[in-house]
Formats: sequence, C-alpha cells, structure tokens
Amino acid sequence: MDEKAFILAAQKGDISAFNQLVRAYQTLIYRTAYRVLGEGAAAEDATQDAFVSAYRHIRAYHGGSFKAWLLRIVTNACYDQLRVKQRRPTASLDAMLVDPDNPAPGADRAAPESPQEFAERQELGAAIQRGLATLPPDQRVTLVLADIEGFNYDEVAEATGTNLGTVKSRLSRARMALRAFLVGQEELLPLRYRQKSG
Amino acid sequence: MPDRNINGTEHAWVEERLSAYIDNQLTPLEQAHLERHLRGCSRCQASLASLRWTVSLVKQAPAPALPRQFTLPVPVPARRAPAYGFGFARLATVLATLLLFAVVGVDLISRLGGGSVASAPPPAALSEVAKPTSIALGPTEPARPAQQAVSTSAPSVAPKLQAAPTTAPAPTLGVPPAPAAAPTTAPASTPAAPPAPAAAPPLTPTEMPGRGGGGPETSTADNTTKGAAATPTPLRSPAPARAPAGSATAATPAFAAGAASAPTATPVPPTATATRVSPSATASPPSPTPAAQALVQPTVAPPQPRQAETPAPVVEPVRVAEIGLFFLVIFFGALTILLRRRK
Repeated sequence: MDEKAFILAAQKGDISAFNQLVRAYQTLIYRTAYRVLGEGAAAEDATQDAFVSAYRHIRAYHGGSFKAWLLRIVTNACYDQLRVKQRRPTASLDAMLVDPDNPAPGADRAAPESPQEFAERQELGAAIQRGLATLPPDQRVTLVLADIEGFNYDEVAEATGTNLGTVKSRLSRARMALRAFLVGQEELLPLRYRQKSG
Repeated sequence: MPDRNINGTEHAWVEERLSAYIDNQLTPLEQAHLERHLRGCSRCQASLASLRWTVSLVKQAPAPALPRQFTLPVPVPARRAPAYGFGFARLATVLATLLLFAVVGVDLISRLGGGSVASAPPPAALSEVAKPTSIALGPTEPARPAQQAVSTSAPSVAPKLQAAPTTAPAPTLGVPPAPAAAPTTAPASTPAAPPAPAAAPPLTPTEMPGRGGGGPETSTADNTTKGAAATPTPLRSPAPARAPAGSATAATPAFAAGAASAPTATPVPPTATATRVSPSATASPPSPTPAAQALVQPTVAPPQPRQAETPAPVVEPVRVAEIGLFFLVIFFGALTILLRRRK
C-alpha cells in the first residue's frame, strides 16, 4: 500500500483513497479508543469521530507519521468522550471483546491458545481495563500507546502532542499506579499471571 | 541484605527512572547510577521486578475485536441537472392548457349563453340565402336559435314560413331562416303568398338530418337534377324526425328549408324565394314576439353579407384555435414528460 499516494488523493477529496487509509488504521484506532475509554460504544463513537475529523482536516497534514497524526486525533476524540462520560457517569458492563485474529500487539501468538488460556486472558484483560480506568486520562493514553500498542516514546510524544520528558514521567506514573492496582488484585488473577513468589 | 543507599531521596530517584530504565530510555550516566543503586538495594530490585511484571501483563492484554468497519460513506453522485428545456416545456404546457381552456370557455359561452348572439350571424346566413351556392357550416348553428325562436314565438309564423319555400325550394328559409327571410320582406311585401301545397317541397329534402353537411356544394352542381328530385320527396319525413309535439310545424320548416336550400338554389333566384318568403313573414302580424322581431331585425342591413359569397371558410377560426391548442398541449405535455424522465 502506498500510503503517501492515498494521502495525496484523499487531500484532493478522494474519499475512496481515504477509506483505504481507514481500513489500514481502523483496528489500531479503535483498539486505542477502547483501551482509553473502556467501553465499546464510546470507542466506536470516538473512532468514527476521529476518522471524520481526519478526513475534514486531512489537508492540514503536512508529512510526518500519519499513524501518529491519526492517534492524536483519536486521543482528542477520547478526551471528548471522557468529558461526556464524566458528566454522565455510567457503569460499563462491557465484556472484553477479543478478536482471535487480531491479538494484542505484544502477545506471543506462535502457539495456539487453549480455551482455558483464552478465558484466563480474558480475565487478565478485564483486570487491566479496570486498572486503566483508575488512571488519569493523560497517563492512560500514554500507557496504552506505549505498553499496549508498542509505540516508542517519540511516537507517543507526537501522538499526544507532548515532549519526551512528559511521556517518560506520565508513563512512569501510569505504570506505578497500574502496578499498585494489579498487585492489589493479584489474587483475582489467573495463576499463571501472578508474580512469582519471592 | 542491607541497602547501601539508605537515603530516601535516592530510592525516589531510582523509582522514578525504573520505567524508563525498562525501556532503555535513560542516559548512560543515569543508567549506570541506577544499576549501581539496584545492586545494593533489594527494595528497588523488587520494585523493578513488579514493574516489569506489570508491563508484561499489559502487553498480554487481549485486543478488542473490531465491531464494524469505519470507512466513510462515499457520497452519492449529485443529481443530474434537469434536462435542458424542461422548464420551458413545462411552462409551455401550462400556458397552452390555460389558453385552451380560455378559448373553449369563450366559445361555449358564446354558444350557450349568447342566445341573442345567435341572431348575430345572420349576415352570413343572408349571404347564403342570396347565393345558395355558398353554404357554410356556420349557418347551421345559428339556425337552432332561429328555429326555436320561430317555434316558440307563434305557430302562425311557422306555417307561413313554410309557405314561402314553395317555389323556391327552401333555401330561402335556409339555415338562418329568420334573417334570410327578413331582407326580402321589406321590399317584397308582395302578396305573393304561394299556394299552400307548394310549400311542401322545401320541407322535402330527405337529407334534412344532414343539414350541416355538404348540402350546399352538391346542390349547385346538380341543382337541376337534385332540385327536382328533392321537391317530390317526403313532406312528412322531416317533420316526425325533428319536430317534437307542438313545435313540430315550426321547427320542421326551418330545418327543411336549411337542408333544402342547397339543391334548389340555382334554378330559382334567391330574390324570388325571398319575395315569397317575405309575404309569409309580413303576413304574420300576430307574431310580434321577440323571436319574430329577431327574425325581422337583421333585414335592415341585408347587403353586407354578400362579402361572404366566397366559398366560405368551412371551419371557424375558433375551432382552428381550439384544435391547434389541443395539439399544442399534447405536444408540450409529451415533451415535458420526456424531458422529465431524462432528469
């Protein structure tokens, strides 16, 4: 896929070319939104808003990482959703929907997963999602981008519109807070995900 | 194992950098200092281990399934502009329709509402009487009111009108009976009252029903033959056909005259017929009714109608307009529909 060609065509108003870009990035964008928002419906809204906004402002894109540009847009969309959520708090009972064909970026998918392992991973995912919900939005976004989606610090800085130092400090605080949460929930985690004693 | 760095600030400094240390984001100097601290600090080592555990857990978190596609809808191509001329065709259709209604309306009003108008056309009728050769479609219509007038006015008039056509087969009383007779009445007040029996011929024309038809043209052509043939024919036939009940006598003569006018035209000069008719009209004093007056009045200006001697326009201009407009409406209507489908 020639991303630049699609971007240029989209900048000229070719919505089909833009949809090619959407197809390439929609999974990443939705997954990020889902991690940040912790709710499927809100994540869908944020994703759709992000792509619509990206199409409207694609002429403002002047090079650099298109993925980071998209992530910044979806991040802002997530902040908007979180503001709405703060005004109308709702208890999300969403179960973690796992795409078997699209595992977590860091997961080792070489070996096929047994049903039990799949179920345990679902439990882990739910626990992490609950832990993420305890983090401030900026730390949450940073942790999702860096640890879940696997972006390096520069990319995270570009996606969040911050500098490297801010990314480091946010990520550090986010990890510490999540660690504290998971340690407190460790007994609820499947055995294989618990810390080795000692 | 006792920590070498007991200073709390040292722990805090290390704790803050453990995250970056995991990701190799520390400067060499920071990294060396941190590793030196870790070697002698079990607390910070445990913290580092738990942090690595947390990061590994997060990375193992399952990814949510994509609920749907987020591609933007491709806009539907804009509607084609309306076909060129559509607006014009529609406007033309509307205008033509309105005009058609207007013309038809005026025509109807002039026919129905204008009973008096019927007496207007007499001039044309006069000309026909004068020159039996020319009989247009026009006179046939005005004949109706005339008939009615005669019939309603007084039975006395009718029989006398019948008498007139005696010699000169009906043409005189022809289509516009009243006016036709009128012009001659004034001058020819002669008591030429023809014999009653003679009156029969004019009524005879069997073609009566086709009074509007081409009686006139054929008449001039074979006047001799047809004229003769016409007269003998039924006196009775027309009467039962047209005349209802009481007004039979009055109405029949008129029709008969109109129809018969053609065949007998040439042999008998119009004047003669006129004179004969006149007596009847004049001799009917008892009919001062408006109808009769209407019959007589037009006599004032008899000569004018002569202009219409030319093979009169068979079709009225109003009709031409109506027909033309009708076809225009159809044409533009079809054009409008056609252009609209192309939109």
